[in-house]
Amino acid sequence: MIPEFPLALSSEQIANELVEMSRRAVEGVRALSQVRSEDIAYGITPKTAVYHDDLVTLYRYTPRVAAPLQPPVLITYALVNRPYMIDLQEDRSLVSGLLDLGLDVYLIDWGYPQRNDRWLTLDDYINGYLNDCVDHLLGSLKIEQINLLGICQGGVFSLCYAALNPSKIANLITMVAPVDTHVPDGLLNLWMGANGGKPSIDPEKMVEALGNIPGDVMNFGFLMLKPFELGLQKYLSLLDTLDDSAHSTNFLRMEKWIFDSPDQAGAAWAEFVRHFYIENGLIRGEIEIGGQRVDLKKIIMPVLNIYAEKDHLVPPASSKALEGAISSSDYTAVSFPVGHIGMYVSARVQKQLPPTIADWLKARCSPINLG
Amino acid sequence: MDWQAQNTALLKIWGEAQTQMLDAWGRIAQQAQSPFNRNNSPFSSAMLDASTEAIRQGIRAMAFDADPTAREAAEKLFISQTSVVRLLEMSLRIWGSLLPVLQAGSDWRYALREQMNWVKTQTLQAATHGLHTSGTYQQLWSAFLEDSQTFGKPWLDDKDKTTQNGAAGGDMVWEAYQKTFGELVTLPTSLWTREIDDGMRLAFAAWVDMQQALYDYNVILSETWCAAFEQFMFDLIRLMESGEMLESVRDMLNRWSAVADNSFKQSFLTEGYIRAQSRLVQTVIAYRQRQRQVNERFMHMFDLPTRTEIDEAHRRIYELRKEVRELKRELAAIKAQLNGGQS
Repeated sequence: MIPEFPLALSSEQIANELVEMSRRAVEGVRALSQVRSEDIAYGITPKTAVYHDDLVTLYRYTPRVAAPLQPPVLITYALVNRPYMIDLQEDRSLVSGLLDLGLDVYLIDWGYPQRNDRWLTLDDYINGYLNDCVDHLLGSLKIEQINLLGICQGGVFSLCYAALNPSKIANLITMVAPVDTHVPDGLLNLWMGANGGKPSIDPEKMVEALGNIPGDVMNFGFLMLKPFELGLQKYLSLLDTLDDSAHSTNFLRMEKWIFDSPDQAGAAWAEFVRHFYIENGLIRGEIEIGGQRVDLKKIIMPVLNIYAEKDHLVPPASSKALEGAISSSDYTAVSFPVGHIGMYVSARVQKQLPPTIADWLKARCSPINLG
Repeated sequence: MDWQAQNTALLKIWGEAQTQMLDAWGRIAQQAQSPFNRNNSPFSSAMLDASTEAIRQGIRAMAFDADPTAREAAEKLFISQTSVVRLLEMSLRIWGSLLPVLQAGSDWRYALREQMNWVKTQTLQAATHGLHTSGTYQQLWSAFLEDSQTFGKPWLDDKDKTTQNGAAGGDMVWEAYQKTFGELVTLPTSLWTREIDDGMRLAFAAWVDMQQALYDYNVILSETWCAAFEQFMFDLIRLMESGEMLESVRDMLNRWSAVADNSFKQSFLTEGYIRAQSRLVQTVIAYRQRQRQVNERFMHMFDLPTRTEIDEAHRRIYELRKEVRELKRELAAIKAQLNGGQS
């Protein structure tokens, strides 16, 4: 026994635990070496591409009921990650949950920007691609409005779009969306330059030097927010679950998603950091997209604002600030006791989130028979 | 992919800072004052080396068609496992050095501070090893050229030749030669222009700035690392005093992870850290721009298209496409209006 050391193990027991850990690590490496890409397929819910423009694709998920709720729900995801986190696997799929509950779900896949996309601006993304996808739906379905669900940065896009085009949006749902970036306790906000004083980064200079902002740089920043939990402990926890094939493949799917970070189109990224983070322009009503000012007070449609109570990327206060910024008289805020990623992968949230969204929409829409 | 070339500098710098820190801790742990005989401790090197090697071999043996995510997870698993061992070893050895003080009922805070000061010094030395923040102009210039071999190769080769010639010719003759004629011929004449030379000097200045920023950043990181460890040791002593026990190595690691992440978060929120990180990013970006300027001057000399020119071409295509898109929209609106009018 090591004298007085507050570890209730003798030297021999410590050594044994370390040996056992090493043994499991060796076995773990062997198990991981057997994993093939097809074993960790993701985004398995059937879908069809219905519209394509440049690097952007609009998908429709195959409805599971004869008369899905109308208007359909269009999901916009963040540019910084791939959207398959909301359809990771059958038992952890927001999309699948929404389809089961009778919704008609569409998704915008922003694609992987290449170097020649460095000039794309937020105007191109919001008034261009997003608007074209909405118009495509309105035109092809012969409807006047859609429901819009924006996640994270996609939530900010959906807020901008809804404020600029309130007549096209029947109901707006935002999920873990950063609205006020100058709230306290936002480490990512600080690093992104939202420190209220001298900005800590110069986004325009970074774009000038790098063109697009590499996804790896963004990812590294995210991991540095919790370096030990995300860089060390997470992998040691894997040792405990490698025997469980379902668990380890789920882990690897998440890993794949986390590190599958598209590069950020330079101009759009610089605008986003400058105007939304450094200047906190959204909540201040100072954002201009394509020459049009984004006035959140023009958001008059029903709004469901969903946030994560332990979110270290988008602090709850950042999302909750939406309530006081819009004019909607039908505003609902719902929170879950998880972190940012837990919103997609927590088993409990996956049970509760789809019905929360579906019930809220059903109270405001009606099903139609597609025959 | 294009970004791989672009972000190498930034990620390499950050990554190396972490790796150096981790390696340093392994070495520091072995040097720490210890009442234990290493061979009898839970960290008998033979046992650890064997397991480390087994994991390493496993990773090497991974099939080429293994999923890349699984391969990366295996590598991270290996790093994590090694880190645990180092952390434990470090904790136990520091604890060992505090033990006589604790047993004597003396002020362990002072002893802990003394130990941590030693750890800080060692960590800082390791974390900033290889950085060039001082030295003569010539020493820094050589280090800069070695650091940027790709575009500094002609100068580097030339410097080597210069040194050899100098040794053979004798100092006086060499100096006369060098001052009158040598400086001209020892430049890579086929490539030399005053613009490129100026560019190299600016890149050098940016590189020196970056080295200083990296040093400052590593100082803060290593201080934070040590503060986290001190807090961790503090927690362990508190546990001992309250009679509580950690039940396993994993428990201990969980406690370390929570303490360390919290310490790092507190540090990351400080103005000093944000300033250091900001300056590091700015200097890396500035250095990269200077590198590009030199590269592009070479490209111009060989009539090759530069990144800036290609970017400019992309910008024009982007603007034209945007105009076409707008015109299509307007045309569609006009057509719709006409069709509406006819019907």
